Amino acid sequence: MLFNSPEFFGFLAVVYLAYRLLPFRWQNRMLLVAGYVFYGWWDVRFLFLIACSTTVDFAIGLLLADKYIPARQRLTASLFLTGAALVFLCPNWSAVALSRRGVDIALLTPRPIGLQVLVATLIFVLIANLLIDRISNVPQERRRKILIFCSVFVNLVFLAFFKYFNFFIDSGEYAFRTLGIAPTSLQLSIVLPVGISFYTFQSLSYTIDVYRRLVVPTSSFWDFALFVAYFPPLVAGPIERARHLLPQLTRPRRIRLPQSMDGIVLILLGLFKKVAIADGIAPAVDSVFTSTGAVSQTDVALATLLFAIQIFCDFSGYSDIARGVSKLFGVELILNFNLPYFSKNPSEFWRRWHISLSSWLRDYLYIPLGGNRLGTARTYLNLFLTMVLGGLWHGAAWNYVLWGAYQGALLCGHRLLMHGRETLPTSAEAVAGTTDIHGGALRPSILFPRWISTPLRIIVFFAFCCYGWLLFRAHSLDQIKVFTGLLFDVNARVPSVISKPTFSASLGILLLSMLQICDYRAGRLESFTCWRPPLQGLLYAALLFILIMGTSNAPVQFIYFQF
Amino acid sequence: MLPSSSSTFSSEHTPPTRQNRRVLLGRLLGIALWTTGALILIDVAVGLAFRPPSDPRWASSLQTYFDYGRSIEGKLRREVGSTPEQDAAIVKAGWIANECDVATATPPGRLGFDIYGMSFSDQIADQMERLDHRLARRRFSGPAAPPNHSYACYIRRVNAGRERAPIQIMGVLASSVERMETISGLTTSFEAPQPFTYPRYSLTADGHLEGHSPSIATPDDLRAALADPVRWRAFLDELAANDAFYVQQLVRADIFDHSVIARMIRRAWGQRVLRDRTAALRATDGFSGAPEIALVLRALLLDFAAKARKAAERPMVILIEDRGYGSALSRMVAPALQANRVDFVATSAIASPDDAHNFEGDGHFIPEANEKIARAVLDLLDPAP
Repeated sequence: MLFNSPEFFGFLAVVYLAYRLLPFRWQNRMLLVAGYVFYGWWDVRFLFLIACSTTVDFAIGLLLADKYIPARQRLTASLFLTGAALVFLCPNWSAVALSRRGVDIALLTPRPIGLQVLVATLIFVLIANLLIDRISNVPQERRRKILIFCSVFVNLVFLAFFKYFNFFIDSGEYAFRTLGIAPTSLQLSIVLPVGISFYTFQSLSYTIDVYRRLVVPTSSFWDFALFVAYFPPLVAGPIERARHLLPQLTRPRRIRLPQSMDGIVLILLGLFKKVAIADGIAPAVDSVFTSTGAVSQTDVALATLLFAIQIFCDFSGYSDIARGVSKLFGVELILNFNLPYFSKNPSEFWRRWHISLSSWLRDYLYIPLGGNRLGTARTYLNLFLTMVLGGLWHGAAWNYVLWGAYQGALLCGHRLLMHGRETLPTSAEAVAGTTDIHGGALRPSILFPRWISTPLRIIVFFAFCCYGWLLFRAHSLDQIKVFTGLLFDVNARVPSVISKPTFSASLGILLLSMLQICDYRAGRLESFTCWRPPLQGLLYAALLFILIMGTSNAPVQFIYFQF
Repeated sequence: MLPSSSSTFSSEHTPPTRQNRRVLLGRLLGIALWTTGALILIDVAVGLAFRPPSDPRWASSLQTYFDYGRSIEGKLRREVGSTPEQDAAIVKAGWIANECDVATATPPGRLGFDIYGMSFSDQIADQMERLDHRLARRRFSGPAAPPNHSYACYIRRVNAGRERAPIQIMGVLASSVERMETISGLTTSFEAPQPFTYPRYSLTADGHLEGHSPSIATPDDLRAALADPVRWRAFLDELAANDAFYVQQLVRADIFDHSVIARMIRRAWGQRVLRDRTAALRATDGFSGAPEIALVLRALLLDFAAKARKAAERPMVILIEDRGYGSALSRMVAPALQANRVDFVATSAIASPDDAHNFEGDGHFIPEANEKIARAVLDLLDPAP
């Protein structure tokens, strides 16, 4: 169910209405069911993965803090996981889709793989229940280490299998072939569960925070299940932290009119970015990056520039809608984008772009690797490694690794220029966007006044950033090589193949640029909400009109769903 | 703990007092009113600034853009003039009564061939004539015409006793096969409807073809129907009964035609509805979503071949497989053609429908692909003595 589809708004209307009518405890149960319906709309079978992460991380969370899990919670978790295998995997859910095409397949004909997983789940539940009693006898620190290892292992195994198995097999086979050995292909036909990286990281952050004693584990299984499956950020973030989201879910919420209005404005802005701009640009970008013929230097430059706009509007549009929808339920999600293209350097960029991921990488990868505490060389290595793994998080392909390496190199280069003063980590306040919108400290320019040097630095860094997007969007290393060569080949004379962005996208880009400049100058996001009502009315009318123009654009899946 | 995101209206999140609440509600109401007023203003201004001319050919791209969502009836009323001379070009195209009744003789000393189809088949025929100057082509086509149009065109020439060439070729376009479930070019292309009509065929219980011919068969019929509410209503009822792509909200003119915003919403909705209807007919393996299409198409092609042979003509079929259809069309009809020894060329074997290089931006084959297909047809014809 896409955020920009009529089905979603029908779903949201039903969920919102039910939410307003129900008392607090039932609100949470209803939101949990809504999360499962929302995710199951893509593929019911993958709900089992969410159920696994939920059950394992809930149990480990409790065991990390206490020696045991109360019998009732143990029973709930065991039944939940077994029930999930039974309901999500055993029936032939594809029959529902096929029956719409007139193919007669019974829904309740059990799938053999479903039955096998059900049996395996039963065995797992049995063994886990036996081990829980054993593990309580292990010394505390050792027990905690074993448990956190189990949590990381289970979560990463799912991620590695569904997302990276074929990538590593393919890379291994390629390596063998270059050595003259022809291996038998071990590639599997694996469907990537939508948003697996997002909810895995979210769930994982909970157990790690409990392990670090930053979070008190919840004793309510259903609250934790809602934390994992809360639908607004479920498939494309922001990647929430337990210490931010869980308290909001466990306490009764009061829906206030201003918060709801904020939500509606964010939904409008998000839809505008996604439907009018990102979807309107997509065909132009695709016309160059999927072209099998020759493309020109102008094509590559323009398509890369347009992709920079597309990915920002697509992803920040999703985040805006997620935050907006969540506000309707009285829940605040963390800010994910803070005018990233106004960054003057890579360090600032990562404080503004996909903030929930960059702060996750900082807290759970960069700092555990040693951060900047182990000397200069190790700091650079940690920085680089964090960004390479961050690149790999985006997708199982070498171009993402290269993109991560490029970002790592930019960060290291910038740190070198700043004499070691700036690094990836940011303060929590900056992450949440509550500090100065203009980002990190600036060194006064000795060559130019600030009104020249600031725009200049923004433009220069944007050019670097755009090249990163070329690496990100390219579909092969060969294409990267060819396109990079074209960018610097002034003699290339090839007719242009790029198709024009839609009219709505062109108008939308103009309007969005204007709004972002206003926000940057005002020092706060969505600064237009402080405008006088007539001006605000005119702006909303323009946003709505361009959004309606964009509804005729062919709908494109959110780019970050694949991650 | 991570602080919450920045907020807009709720920047303070202070507990609302009654007075605060009243001020806030007033402000919200003001914004809502200004938004509504501004939207109406934009709607009217854009509608006036980009009012389209009666003939779509003279419309600017923006005029066309803002008019895509007008109802089909609304577009027709604009395009159909009070006299034939005032009709837009699209109104005149494709009518069987006009296109298929022409009597042009084959130039002496040349081997004539008649080709039925659409722009794709026209382009292939042009290439054939260019490659072999001994050939002379006669084209009978309609915009994206389906096989029932081509078949009806051939039958009309047979029944009218028109002179026919010794070679009769029927082009079948994969993306037009779905149109076999329609009786007009109006319903399948909402944004630029083509008013020409053609019969819809079905199979009787004993396996014979049965055609339903629409009551409107010429541009003059259409003009008269638009001027006569009873006749127009009867035609719409006929479309509703016989056309699988008929959607009342897209066809009938209504108050939404007067609003640019409503037109844009209808355009988006129309795209979605037509996409769903096409998808329902077109399963992943071709056209198995509508098995009757395959049966009727095979019957049409075999009947065309039988009639041509009976008249001592050589029948041929070109299966034109455009982008997005793979080789579904060949898989659907090639076995029947082979079993009945009807010569055919499947373009998917010559210019892959999955290779973007073979196609122009508008979806037609590039000249090189057309040439390769034309050569394949010529090889099959082998007109050399």
